[in-house]
Amino acid sequence: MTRLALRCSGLAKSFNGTAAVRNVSVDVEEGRFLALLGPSGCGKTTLLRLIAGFETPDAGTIEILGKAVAGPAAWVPPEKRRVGIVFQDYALFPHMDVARNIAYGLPGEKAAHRVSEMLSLVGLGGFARRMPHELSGGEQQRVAIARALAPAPDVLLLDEPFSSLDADLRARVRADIKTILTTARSTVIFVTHDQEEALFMGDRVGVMNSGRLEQVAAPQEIFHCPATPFVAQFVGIADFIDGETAGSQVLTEVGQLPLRCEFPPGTKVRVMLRPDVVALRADPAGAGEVVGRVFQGIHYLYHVRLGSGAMIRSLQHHDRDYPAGTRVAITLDESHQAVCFPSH
Amino acid sequence: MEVAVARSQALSDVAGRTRGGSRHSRPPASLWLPAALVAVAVAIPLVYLLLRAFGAGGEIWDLLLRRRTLEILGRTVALAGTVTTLCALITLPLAWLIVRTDMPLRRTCRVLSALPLVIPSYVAGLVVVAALGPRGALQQLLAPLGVERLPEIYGFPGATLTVTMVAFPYMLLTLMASMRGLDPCLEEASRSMGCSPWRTFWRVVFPQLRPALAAGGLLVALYSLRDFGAVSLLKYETFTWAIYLQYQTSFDRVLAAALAVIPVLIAVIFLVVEMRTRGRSRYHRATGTARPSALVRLGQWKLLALSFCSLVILLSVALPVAVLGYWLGKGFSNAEPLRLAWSTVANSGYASALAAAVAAVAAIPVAILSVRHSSKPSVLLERATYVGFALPGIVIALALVFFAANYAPVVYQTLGLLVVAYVILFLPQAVGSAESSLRQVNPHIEDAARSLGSSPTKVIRTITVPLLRPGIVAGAALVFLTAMKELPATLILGPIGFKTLATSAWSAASEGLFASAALPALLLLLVSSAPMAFLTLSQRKGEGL
Amino acid sequence: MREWTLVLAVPALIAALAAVACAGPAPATTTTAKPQTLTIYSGRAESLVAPIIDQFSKATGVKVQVRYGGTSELAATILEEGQNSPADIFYAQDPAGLGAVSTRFATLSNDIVSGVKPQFRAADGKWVGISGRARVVVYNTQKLSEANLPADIWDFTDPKWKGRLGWAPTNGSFQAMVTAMQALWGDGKTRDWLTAMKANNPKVYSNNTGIVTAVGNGEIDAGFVNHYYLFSFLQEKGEAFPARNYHLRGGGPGATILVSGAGILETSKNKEVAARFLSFMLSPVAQQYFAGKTYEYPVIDGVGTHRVLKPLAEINAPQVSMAQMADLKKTLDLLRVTGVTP
Repeated sequence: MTRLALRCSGLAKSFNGTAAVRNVSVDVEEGRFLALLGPSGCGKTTLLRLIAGFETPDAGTIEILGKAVAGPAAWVPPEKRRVGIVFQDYALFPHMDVARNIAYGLPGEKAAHRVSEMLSLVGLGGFARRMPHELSGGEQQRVAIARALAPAPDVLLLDEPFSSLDADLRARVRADIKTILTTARSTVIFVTHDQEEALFMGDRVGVMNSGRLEQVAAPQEIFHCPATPFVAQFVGIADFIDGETAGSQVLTEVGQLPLRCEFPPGTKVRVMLRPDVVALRADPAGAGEVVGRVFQGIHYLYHVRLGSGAMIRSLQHHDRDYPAGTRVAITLDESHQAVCFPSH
Repeated sequence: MEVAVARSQALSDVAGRTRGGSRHSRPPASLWLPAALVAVAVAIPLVYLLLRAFGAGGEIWDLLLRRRTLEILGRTVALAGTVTTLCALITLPLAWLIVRTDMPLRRTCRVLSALPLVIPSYVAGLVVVAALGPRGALQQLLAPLGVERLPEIYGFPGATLTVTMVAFPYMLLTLMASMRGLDPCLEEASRSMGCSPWRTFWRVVFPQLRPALAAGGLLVALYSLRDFGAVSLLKYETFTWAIYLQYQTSFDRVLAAALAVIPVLIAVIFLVVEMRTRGRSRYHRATGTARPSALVRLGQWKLLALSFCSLVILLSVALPVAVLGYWLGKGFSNAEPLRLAWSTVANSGYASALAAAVAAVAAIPVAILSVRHSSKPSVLLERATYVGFALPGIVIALALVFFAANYAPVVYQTLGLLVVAYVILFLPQAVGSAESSLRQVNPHIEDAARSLGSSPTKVIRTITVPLLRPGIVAGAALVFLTAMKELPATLILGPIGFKTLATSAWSAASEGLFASAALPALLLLLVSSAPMAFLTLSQRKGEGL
Repeated sequence: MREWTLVLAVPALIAALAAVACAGPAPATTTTAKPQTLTIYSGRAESLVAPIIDQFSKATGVKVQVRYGGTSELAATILEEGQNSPADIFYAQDPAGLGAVSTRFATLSNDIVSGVKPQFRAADGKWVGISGRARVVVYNTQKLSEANLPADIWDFTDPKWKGRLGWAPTNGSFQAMVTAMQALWGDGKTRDWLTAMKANNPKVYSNNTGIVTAVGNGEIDAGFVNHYYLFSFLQEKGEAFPARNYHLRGGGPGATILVSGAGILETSKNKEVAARFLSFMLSPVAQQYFAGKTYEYPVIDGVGTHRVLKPLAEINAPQVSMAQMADLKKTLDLLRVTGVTP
């Protein structure tokens, strides 16, 4: 049974009357990765800063390894929390070389050894005497990670760590960093607005929206069984059409699907459709009309207007060539269980 | 498009919230204790003024409500307003030409155009009278052309000219620093959207310069409130002169203090206006430095640009140096005994260097509090440091005389007390410089240091202060320069027999011994030019001020 | 990095030099020090009085420290210092400066002041005059001659002088002259003179030096000053300097004799040494110095005036006591009411 590295319960924080974090509760087990995913301004960075101790919560508690560090009766300042942080802009100390950056959080006697250990961990063996401005973006980031890992923090926080890297570099660095952090057996909480990144890095993914943590779950579950329409739309592509439950099925204007969750029969619901569930076939009497398409290489992503006026998207192999205006018949992949949300 | 706008707003919203560093944590004692000390120091003159002014009783209202007082108020505000406007008109093109164009001799212009800062205003006043007076040197030059006398220089025109001459570098330095930091992408974007260069300047560049213009303008305006040398020599009665006259003609400390309350109020208005103009713009670059902008090619305008810069330098630097040199030369040819003890030079340098060091140290907590722990008390403290800069030196000096002689006789008439006076007078220069330096430091750097186990105090020691160093040193250099030329506090508060270059120049000039005055005045310029060169050098590297 | 160390090194070097220079004479404490010390606040310029003060020091072995500054700033300083003033003696440029701090002065013993002509000292014995100066009209010799100048200062109210005169209404000596005027003419006539003069639009200067400079370069034709300023100009610029003094033929307030003077502070801990200093300043040696070097009038009998000066006996000076001159309040009110000063 693994220990809990971090437990947040009922956290809330507002700035000048605007709530940035509302009633957030989340646990992270030791050695696991939690990715916090959400659009800009959703409060994920504030949550990170609360955990680091740079902000004080208005309500709720934070425990690290079972010890309360913030809450009504507790306050541990950031320097005593044993929480490492890597910022989006790396925030290296510009007046210190790489070795001194990494050694900053270490007690004097063991520093030299630990620094070289960290440098080889992040693969920057010969870089000890370089100054930060002499490093590339990727190298700076690895220094920032080495610096944060050097004191062996109980929790490591990464704030949008890859967003300032070029796209091609990003994928490679991401994999490297995951390896480094796994090697170091760190507990990691990492903030991103990039769903692909979150799904790749996180053992679990938490999706935040307007200060609320809408769902925390394994990446697959987040994708296949989103808890809210927001999560559905934010992670992957999702369209919604109206439907009505009938027993274990939900009926829609384009066919029926098995229900994933229980609803009383006759409930009006919104049915989530991922583009890969929607199949198209040219048919002059079909229920939909192609209004546009986006060529994605192997696939076309079709935009289809239904009889009701609802818009759905469909992912089709590139040999299915339907120009705009083509009438299409729509079938749903009935092996998929439909995710539904109550209509309001 | 709309989405993009909303998104960027959300981004800036987050930025606004998270960039402030751990501003919600309470500042450590290592910050607020020294800051409290600074607060006590800057409060001394104010407490003194109120103590004296309220000792007056009914007479104070008679004095304050006289029509004469209103006239002085009008003149003071007119001078401050005109000088500030003139400085903006001179320094905007000057800074732009020096920083952003391929004008020849840019570096020379940069060093020379900042130099008037070290010319004491009474020297500038004497020079203006000697050169441009009705029968001054210019008239002598024009005499063969039948010019009998020049129009009156005394009063508003002369005072405006003289104060502008010595004060414009305050604005020039802040503007040059700000122009150097401009992101050329914004200008290019504006040009690519079809805006003319002129429109680009007003719509894109000017708004970005506004904070610098306001900060420089504040120093200029406050300086023109305080200046005594120029207004007294050019006979333009502002509050500083009126206050001085109260001491001189009636030996009346109470009425003088009552009068001095008004410039304090004017200064408060200036401070609030500047804060509003600056707005809430607190920016620093997230990563790296800006791509240096390409220099604007002046082409056929080169000569005109250079003549403009030369004219400014000619009037503000070459003219005073020439007049002083002329006086000195005449003294030599008359075989006057021009003696100047080395200790005078040493005293000047020593006291000013101490003041610079103390002001630099005192500025650190004030700057960190106001930038990183912005709150009502910290903003109040930061603004309060500027009040000393707006008050006549004699008021600060007498305030310290009163408190020290009566409550701390041990320190009275020691070098230490003189240094305190200098710090009260010139602290805002150090604070402003440290602040702008700190605004360019990414607060995440300090956050990172804290999460690596450093206490707030250790973060300040190992991270913030080392990163602030360019700003702190530039501020110290400014304090050094202005302390070198300080007069009234030096006369009253210095250890007995403590002569400086400024007091020597003054005492000779007040006896009409211009040759004897010219020697220390020229030495003053010479000694001051080292830190001045530093200021401009450090700006070249995009640091400082 | 290099650049800065270099630039920082310059002030540091200066500071180090200064530290060495200053290491010598630390401010001595006055209570137990063996060599007697004396602290003087001097409103008179260093170049004028330092030589004679040095002479006192040499003759007596008393260590003298002097704070030089403006008379009014020093008076204000003494008032602010209150009981803790380090000053033993206040040496002022004019009677008004002395009057302002007279409540802080100890009464001088008769031995010190008895040799001084009564019109040159305070009636209450609080201070004593040390050197005399005459109010004169300084005029540009290229534009005027003594014959063109009126006999009495009243006559400058004639509109023909419009724009040709200079005065320094904020200057202590000028105000002392107005005080004398009030004593001699009464407030009514003095007010008329000020108003009429103001109508003649005289140029306002902050001090006597400014007026003499302006007369010399022809900015104005004539101005009201103390007599001795001219001589430093003659020394510097030679006999060709086109300005000379004119002692008003008809006498009256325009020909008043004023004094610089000094008093001993009540709070002084060295009153005995201070008294010795004043006695020295009133001795023939010191009086001879003022007569010879600063072109001032001696205040004791038996010392001759400088040959370039008009002897005191030939000046048609009005009879006004210094006691009448020390109280400026009425004068300042009048100057303010007439708008001559702010």
